[in-house]
Amino acid sequence: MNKPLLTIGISLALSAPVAAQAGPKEDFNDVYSKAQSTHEDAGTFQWTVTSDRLKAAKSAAENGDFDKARSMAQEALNLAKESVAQRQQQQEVWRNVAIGN
Amino acid sequence: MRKGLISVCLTTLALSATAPVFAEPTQADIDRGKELAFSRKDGNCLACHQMDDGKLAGNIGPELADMETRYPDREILFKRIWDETQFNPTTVMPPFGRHMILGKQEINRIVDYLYTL
Amino acid sequence: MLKAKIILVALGAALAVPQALAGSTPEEDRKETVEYFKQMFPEVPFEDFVNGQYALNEDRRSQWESMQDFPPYEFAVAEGQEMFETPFANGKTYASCFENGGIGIRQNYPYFDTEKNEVITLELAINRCREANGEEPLRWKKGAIASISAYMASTSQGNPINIKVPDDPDAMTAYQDGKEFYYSRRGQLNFSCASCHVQNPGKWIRADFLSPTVGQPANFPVHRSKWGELGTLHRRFAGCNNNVRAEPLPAQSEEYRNLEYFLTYMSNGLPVVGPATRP
Repeated sequence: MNKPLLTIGISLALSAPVAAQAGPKEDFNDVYSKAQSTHEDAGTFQWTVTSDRLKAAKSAAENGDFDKARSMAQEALNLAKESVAQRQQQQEVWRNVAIGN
Repeated sequence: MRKGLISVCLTTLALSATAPVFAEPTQADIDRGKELAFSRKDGNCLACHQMDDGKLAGNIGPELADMETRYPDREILFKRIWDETQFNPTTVMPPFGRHMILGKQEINRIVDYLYTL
Repeated sequence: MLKAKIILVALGAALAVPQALAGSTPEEDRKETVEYFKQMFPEVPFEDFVNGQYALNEDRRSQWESMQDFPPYEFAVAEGQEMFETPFANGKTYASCFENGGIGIRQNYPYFDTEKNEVITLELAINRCREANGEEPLRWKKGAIASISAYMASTSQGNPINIKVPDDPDAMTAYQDGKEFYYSRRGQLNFSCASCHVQNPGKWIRADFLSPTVGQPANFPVHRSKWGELGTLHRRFAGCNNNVRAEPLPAQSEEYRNLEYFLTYMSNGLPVVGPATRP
């Protein structure tokens, strides 16, 4: 994180009453869009569990429960990252068990 | 006196190596471990392993028995459930921890249960 | 190292070629694959591989044989024949779209169309035939398309599967993509098709008995007890992907067609036995 951002972050955190209203929703949006784009990066290696968490996050957000929405989006992001890692790894190692070269 | 020393040593060892994470499991821990191991949406160990009183078990992997003898080091057993591909790259066993199929605590409960087999 | 390679080393097959330089032909792949399964199941007659789990398990086989007097897909095949023979609104029939009027041709699908540069599966050809004749396409995984495909397979029973990879870089790419798909691990559970059907055929995964790669597509479309109806090969692909918690791809997507191309090539020489039943 760069310094100006950090400063903004700290001052937002300090001005608690304002941040408490704007924070969770923006926080959710940020994590959710990261999760979505990482899920896209998995290409044909997407996981169903990631899609499930994204759906759960979205519906929690629609109900105004941004804490739950954020935690679901975070789970989706973590899962999506592993699916991207799997995609990259398999491009190398699929031949290890293949019959014929 | 000597006995006392040994027990002090053992306690120290136990404390330093395992105490923070692996306290002696309660029956509830073991029950929870069995539940996680048998449940299709969690461990689903029975898909591949015969174990205990599990019905309709698969036979892709070895039977889970004598676990304490086969895995005297708890940390190794934990790691193999966490990600068996680190030990055997062509295994078909899912990397339960790395792929977030199970959490750390859940794997620890399964290990508690496996050590009763 | 996989058993396949150990077995093949023992056989003296040429595995010394560095993998980066190697690029075996589809025919070399197929021969090695057949040899691998013959070694794994020396007592199974080669042609019996089309019967999947029934070739490997006595209990399953006798359950299956007891179903053969009244196979549950009979009605669907009759319905498929009727649809196949009923003219479209423009007066033409399916027969006009296929070689030999669509009779006895199942063994040639899928094929690589060097003009369109893509793999054409039987189901894709059925729907393209409809569209060419001004009809709406059918849904891909079950229902009418499975019945028509089942009828067409039934007219081809016993014909040896005859998939060709023409001397064309795009055809070769399609084959290779299908092969890579078959061997790539997917989903949260980290399984490839090969994890079960190359590494563990003949074993139980919970209450399901795993079939070998060779022979797999010969019995499609298939009536599964689990479905209670006929389904196409791509329905099965999607089901397998879903089981390992991988997001299934659309039926007749390029990936699944290429997968079918590779998989069916591996069964060359085996007879068409579709439609068939599976648990």
